[in-house]
Amino acid sequence: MRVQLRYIFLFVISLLSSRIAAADATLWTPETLPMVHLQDAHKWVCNPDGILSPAIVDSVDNIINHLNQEKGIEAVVVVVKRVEGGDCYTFGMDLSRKYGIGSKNYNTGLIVILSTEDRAYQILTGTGLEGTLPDAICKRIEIRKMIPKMKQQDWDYAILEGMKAIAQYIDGDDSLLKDNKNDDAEGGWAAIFFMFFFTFALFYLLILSRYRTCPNCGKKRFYATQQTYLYTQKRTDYYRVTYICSHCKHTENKIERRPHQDDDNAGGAILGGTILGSGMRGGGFGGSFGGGSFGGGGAGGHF
Amino acid sequence: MNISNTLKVIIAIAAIAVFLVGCGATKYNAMVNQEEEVSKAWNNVETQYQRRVDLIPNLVNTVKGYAAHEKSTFEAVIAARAKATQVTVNPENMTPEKLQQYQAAQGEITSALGRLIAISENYPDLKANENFQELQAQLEGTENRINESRNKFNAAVKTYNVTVRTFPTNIFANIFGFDKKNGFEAEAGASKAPTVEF
Repeated sequence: MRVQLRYIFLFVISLLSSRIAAADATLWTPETLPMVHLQDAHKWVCNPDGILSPAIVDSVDNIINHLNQEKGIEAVVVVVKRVEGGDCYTFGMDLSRKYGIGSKNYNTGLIVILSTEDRAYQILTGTGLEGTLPDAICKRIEIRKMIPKMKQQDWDYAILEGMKAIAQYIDGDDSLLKDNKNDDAEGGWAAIFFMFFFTFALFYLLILSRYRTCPNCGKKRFYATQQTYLYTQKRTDYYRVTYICSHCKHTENKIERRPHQDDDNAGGAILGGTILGSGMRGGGFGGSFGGGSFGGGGAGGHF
Repeated sequence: MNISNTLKVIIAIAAIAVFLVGCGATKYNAMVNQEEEVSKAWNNVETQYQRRVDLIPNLVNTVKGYAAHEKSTFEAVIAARAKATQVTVNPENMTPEKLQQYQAAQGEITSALGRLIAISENYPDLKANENFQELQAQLEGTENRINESRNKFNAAVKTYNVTVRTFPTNIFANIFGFDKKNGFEAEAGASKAPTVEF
């Protein structure tokens, strides 16, 4: 009897907790939605509930990166379980106002939203894309490519096929030029400029540090011309270094100690590694949006 | 001594005058700019309403193909369209009555189109027609654009009104004749949701 009671109790608890879990699907708002593009300039898909598989997210990111480079489009794809109010249109417009998606001059922003538990979807076009993707075309893409997949709950392919179709229309529009590119290039230039500046400063310091003050004439033109390895003791290397002053030709020999290194190039490798590493991690730079505006164009609905 | 005192007074008056003129010029320019913003926003509102009007013939013809006998509905849409195209508002002399009239005329189109879309529910073939679905999407998109442009117009009017009515700009506004403008009111005419009648 007691055992039975305990099972009933457990059953009730599990029932309750599953109820709670079901109601727990986050209601995303434009404020709470993590905007991945701001962390990584090459990512455009907001998938906070993990509805899309990583492979599809990658493919869609690739499509959008291509559109961004070739046509200057800034596109954000949002796939969530639920949005606040269950209305993808309002959510998308608020998102566009918050981030200013699309270039400021050309307004070529694009937002695609799918809310799986609200069973709602929306394509929103920036005012500069309304000619390339009229509402009727957005609807056609939704009817032909997306809705059939959504009805099968195949979220991956609903988004992938939809984005492929959208990309075809955008690619086919020659009036969208490469020059339409997002204005946030400024941010990119600033980063590149900073990197160059940093590297130059480093080299300058390295060159400067070569020179020491000459004990003879007092000018900072005293530098090492020759060094001979002598021996290693207690993990310390001993060198004989010949210094010469380029001003007064004063020459001096010194015995110098340096920490022992197994590989002569180790220092250089570490230095090169850090510089290159910080430069090559380009993808890790956060992105930004151009500040484009949306006029309410696009198409959406419920499936 | 006397002369230099009068000179001082004259210089002081001149300085104040220059200051006031400078002030007035910047305020005047600000008001002109904001008035331009308002008329730009208004033009956008009109463009979006015009876009909806342009959609009507296509929409009516498509529905006609499936529901030819819903004559009264078509006539209502056409009549509302004809009426609305006659009401135009000039942003320069936009009176509250004119705006009200415009809103009422556009509101008639809204409700007539609402009825047109509502009857399509009775025709499954029409509802499944891709052409009709696309037209419907265009209509929805246009309604969304109208809403956005109305909001932007109201925002522009609000900015302008705040400038014109706050001190000290209101003094210059009175001198140069910048009056308070009217925005759309939420409950009147066009913003009403279409009523569905069976």
